[in-house]
Formats: sequence, C-alpha cells, structure tokens
Amino acid sequence: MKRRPYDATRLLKWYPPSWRSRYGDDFLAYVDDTLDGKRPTVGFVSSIALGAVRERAHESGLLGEHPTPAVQSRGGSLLVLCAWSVFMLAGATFSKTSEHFAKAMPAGSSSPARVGFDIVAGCGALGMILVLIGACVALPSFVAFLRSGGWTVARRRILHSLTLTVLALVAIVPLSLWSRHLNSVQRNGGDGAYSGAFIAWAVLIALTLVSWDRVALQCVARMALSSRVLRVEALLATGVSILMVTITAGAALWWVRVGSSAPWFLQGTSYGSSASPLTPNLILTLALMVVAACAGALGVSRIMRSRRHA
Amino acid sequence: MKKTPANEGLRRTNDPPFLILTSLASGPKHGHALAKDIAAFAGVELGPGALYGAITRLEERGLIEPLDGEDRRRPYRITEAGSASLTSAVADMRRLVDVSTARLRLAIGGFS
Repeated sequence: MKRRPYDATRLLKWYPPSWRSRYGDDFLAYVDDTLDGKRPTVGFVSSIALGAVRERAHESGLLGEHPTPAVQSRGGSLLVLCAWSVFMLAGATFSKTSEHFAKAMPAGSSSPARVGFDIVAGCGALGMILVLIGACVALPSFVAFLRSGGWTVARRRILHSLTLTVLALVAIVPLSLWSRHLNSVQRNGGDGAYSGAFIAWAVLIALTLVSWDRVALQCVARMALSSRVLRVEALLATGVSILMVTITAGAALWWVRVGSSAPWFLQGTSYGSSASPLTPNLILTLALMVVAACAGALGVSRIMRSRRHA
Repeated sequence: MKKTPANEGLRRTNDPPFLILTSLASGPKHGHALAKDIAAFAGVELGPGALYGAITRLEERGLIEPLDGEDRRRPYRITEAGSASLTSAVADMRRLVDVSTARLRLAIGGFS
C-alpha cells in the first residue's frame, strides 16, 4: 500500500509570501520526493525553520548582500532596532535586580557600583530617546505608506501590537498596587504569586516588543525612505549600538563591584552572609546584553558597508 | 548539512553554492535530483533550508536559472555567468591543490 504523502504546506508557511509564490510548488515537490511518505526528522524540520528565518531576515534586509546601498543601510538600522528590543528586556531585568542596591552596600563601597548603575540608567534613557527620534523621523514615510494601501497589508499586525501594548500598560496598575503591600524580599522572589505575575507581565512585554519589531520589519521594507531619512536613521542606529556596548560595560562594572562588596544582595540573603555573586538571572541578563550588543555591531557594520558602496 | 565520516576533516568543498553549480554543470536538475547528486559525488547531505537558500541566492545572482517543468518540479540550469563563476572557483582550488600537492611531496621527500 502506498504511503500518504506528508503534508508539508504547514512548513512552507514559515517562509515569506514572496518566496512561497516563487519557490513554493517546487519546494513542496522536493519535500515530497525526499520524504517519500515518511515523517520528517527533527533535523529536516530544523533545516526548514532555519531556512525560513534566513529568508525572512534576507527579505527584510537584515541579512545578505543587497544590490542597493539603501536596502543594505535600511537592513542595518532595522537590525540595530531589533537588537535594542532584546537589549531592553535585559535592561528591564537588570533594573529589577539592582533595585535598592545602594542600601545593601557597606558604607563607602557603593561609589564604583553607583557609577556603573548610572551609566546603565543614563545611557538606557538616551537610547530610548534616540529610538523615539528615529520613529519620529520615519513617521511621515510611515503615514504615507499606510495611506497608499499599506494599512491593508499591516493592519492585522498593527492592531495585534496595539492590543498587546494596551494589555501590558493596563497590567502595570494592579502589579504596582500589589507591590506596595510587599517588602523588598517579597518583591524579589520571596512571594511566589507576585513573582509569577511579574514573570507573566515580563513575557507580555517581550511579546509586545517582538510584535512591534515585526510591524517594523514588515512596513519599513515597503516604505519609501529618502536618502536623508536613511542617513539620519543610520546615524541614530550607530549611536544606539554604541550605547548598547557602553550599557553592557556599565552593567558588568556594577556586577563586579556589588559582587565583591555585597554578594548577599545579589543572592537575596541576609546582610554580611557569604554568597556567590554568580546568579543565574545576572548571567542571563549580561549574556543577553552581549548578544544584543553584537547584533547591533553587526547592523552598524552593514550600514558602514552600504556607505562604502554608495 | 551532514558529511559522511570519511569526509570529516580538512574539506573545503562543502559550500552549498559551489556544490549546486558543480552538480548543474552536468545538466539541469530539480531540487531532489540536485540533493541526490550532491550526496553521491561529494558525500554531503544538504538540508532543505540550506539547499533552497543556496538556490535562491544563486538565482538572485544570475548564476542559475529555472526552466519550465512538466509538473510542480522546476529544474534549474547553470547560466553562462554561473559557469564562469564555477570555472574561477575551480581554478582557485586547483592552485591550492597544486601548492598542497607540491608541499606534501616536498615534506614526504624530506622525511624519506
């Protein structure tokens, strides 16, 4: 009895629509021939998933060489924006971890840690301002794109992102009211229910950022951006990328100083107790910062390459 | 992308675009035939993502082109630019092979 062919149309949907319309039928025939009715292996599916991510990144200008410097520069700026979104998550975790750290430090030892903390806070605020300026600079092109039929294309994603944003903002109110009835130990992992709610809120924020990134990737590739706007965006992206590296250095300085002077603060144990400064959340936070800063640097290198070819 | 154990080590020829151009140099092929041919002559199993990613880039660069297929399968053939690019890559490799061979002979001669 002949085996029923595996339905690979679900896997094909991971690829961008333009790629599907060009290669879809041929690709499905290839999958049918290769699998010959068998179930795909994990490696086979992973290869398709990676290929689809690569094609989507390529289509958005995030990867690969592009024929025009404008597309290359646009992709570089978008890569920095996506990296900044990841960086914001790490920054939020850092902010939560470092809450009220000065009170836990022995007298006279908080200065270098304070410098590190101020670098993170100051550069973080500056980064937000640069991203907002970038959004304002691109706003007229975005409105023009929406008016010329873009709304039909991007409506679903924009509404989805707006819904997530409203949910995330509304959720802050009960969370902050709840936190007022808790002491610092309960706020920092001592209360299981509050920690669960906080993690759920953090996930909601992450989803909101990813959703807006998807809107940006979908719209910016189709927007008509003048060379002046692209130059400004490239400059801002370079600034954001430099700030990511500076913030990472500031966070590392803070960690080293607090870890050597008040490791108990990092572990949430009592004042003066011996504790390891290597906490999983800080390791993850710094790792995320480094990855995002590297992605930002990659974006800037694409911008630089586009300027050389211009 | 998997390699057979015997091919592990200092192989430089597992670059998907190079393998695809080499396969198409003997005539047009569709995706599955390409993958089978590459596995046969190079011992490299290209995954679907790597194979079609390379096909997409090669077509964008005008090094291969699709032909009309009789069914869903679309054969691809190497273009003149593709042949020139492959010829250049092979010449580069040949130079390296010549240097390696000469130096190996020298080393073996020196030890014998």
